[in-house]
Amino acid sequence: MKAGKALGVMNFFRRKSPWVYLLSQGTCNGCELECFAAFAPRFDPERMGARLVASPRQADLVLLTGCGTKKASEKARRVFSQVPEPKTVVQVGACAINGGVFKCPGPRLGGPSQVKVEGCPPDPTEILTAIKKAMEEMTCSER
Amino acid sequence: MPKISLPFGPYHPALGEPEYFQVVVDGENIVAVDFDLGYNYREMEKKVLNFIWDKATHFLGRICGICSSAHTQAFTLAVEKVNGMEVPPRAKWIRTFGAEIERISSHLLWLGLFGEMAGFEPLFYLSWGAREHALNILEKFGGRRVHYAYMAFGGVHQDLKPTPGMEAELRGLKQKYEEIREMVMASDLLADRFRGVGVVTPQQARDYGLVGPTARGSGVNNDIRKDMPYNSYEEHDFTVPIYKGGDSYARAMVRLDEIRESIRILEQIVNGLPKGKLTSVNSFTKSRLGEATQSVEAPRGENFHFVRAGELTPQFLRVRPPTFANLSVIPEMLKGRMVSDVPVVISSIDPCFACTDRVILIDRSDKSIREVQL
Repeated sequence: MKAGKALGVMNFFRRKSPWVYLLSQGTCNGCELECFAAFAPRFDPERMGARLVASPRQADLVLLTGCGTKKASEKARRVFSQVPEPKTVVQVGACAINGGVFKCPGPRLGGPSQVKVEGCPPDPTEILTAIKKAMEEMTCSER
Repeated sequence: MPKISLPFGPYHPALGEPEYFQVVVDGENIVAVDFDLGYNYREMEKKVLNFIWDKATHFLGRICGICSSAHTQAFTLAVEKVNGMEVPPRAKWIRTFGAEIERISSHLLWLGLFGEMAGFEPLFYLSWGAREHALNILEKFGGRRVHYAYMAFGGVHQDLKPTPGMEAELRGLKQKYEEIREMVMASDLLADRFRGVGVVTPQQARDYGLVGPTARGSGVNNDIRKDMPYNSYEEHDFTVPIYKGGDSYARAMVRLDEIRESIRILEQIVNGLPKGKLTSVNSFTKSRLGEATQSVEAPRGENFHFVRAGELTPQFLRVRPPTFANLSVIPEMLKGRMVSDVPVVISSIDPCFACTDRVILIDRSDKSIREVQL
């Protein structure tokens, strides 16, 4: 009972301030640009608690971009496994969703709860909306 | 003291993209550097051979999100050379507009990341804030912020209509740029961090065949816009900034000055865009057989395309992006420096690995990563 309450409180605050890690598995840079631009001063999601972090071990949410190239996808899987549970994933761009124009041979990463942002590359506003949606979907049961 | 091999990457906060640098250190000092490319290798030069001409242009824009228009322009100009196509003057001016606004957005992006590498985060926020003006102009002109597909064979798809809104954005961009420049020039903090870091002598710059702002920071005057003019660059009044320092600070100043020159070119285009047709052909489906090469000045330097045209599709394509030429000098720049200089030096050449990873070479005989002895 007590643990459940603590978890609820944890999740309440986690939803309020997602720390985001950008993981690219081999791309044209377009989606990374727009993800960075989404965290730049024009939109400035830091005023609402969301920020980019440098280490996967600090992250709550992973922005996954890229089509999964042969060399990068295995390394990306290892980095992804370092993100602590509970984690949630947002697939950004057509490449991360279905391979896009490149149709790379490597396996693409999945994740526990997936929110997809379509586009090549998507608009920063759409990326921010998706982050908000993904954090709302995040519940206790994913622990 | 034993030498320690220190990995930078493939996923490292200092590198935006997956790429691997191996740095061998003796204490704090770097004795050897090696790098391993190919994490962004997407088989583009092979896959483009399956696309018809119009699709091939848009596909090649996806080589890189930052210099999308440089790749499409080089490819389109090469194919136009094969077919002997005429481009109307208005289309030429519009192409120059696209290339220059891309240069501004790329340099401002780099400036922000460079400031962040040095631990000066206000510069990141200021220059990415100024970059949004450039992106607004791009959105009004090309319809998108990234991968603006305005290039067509024989001309351009989108017309450029200089509206009051666009001119206001240009004024805002200019004002913010001057603020940033003043701040960078006034800040001893930045200058002290960058001066003397990653020095390339003019002789080294020529020996390594450096291109773009990296070469111009070492006093080598090469700019494709002046040396082999394409588009409408002959008709515009602009200078090529050259600094002789050869260090990271000189390279930063070259890029800062280039933004000012690009804004000058943009103003000339907005004020004096010639009237006329946008394209010389209605559709382009069949090409003559032949080969052509074309170099364009991408934000990072010379971007070279070699195209062998088939009838319906390209038969062969080779791309030599600017970062490929500039990357080889990184071991030389890091020689004898400290570990903390690695992010600054690597980012000072403005590397774009998405462009660079065209080819992977796997040494089957020797699977271990070799170290370059300096």
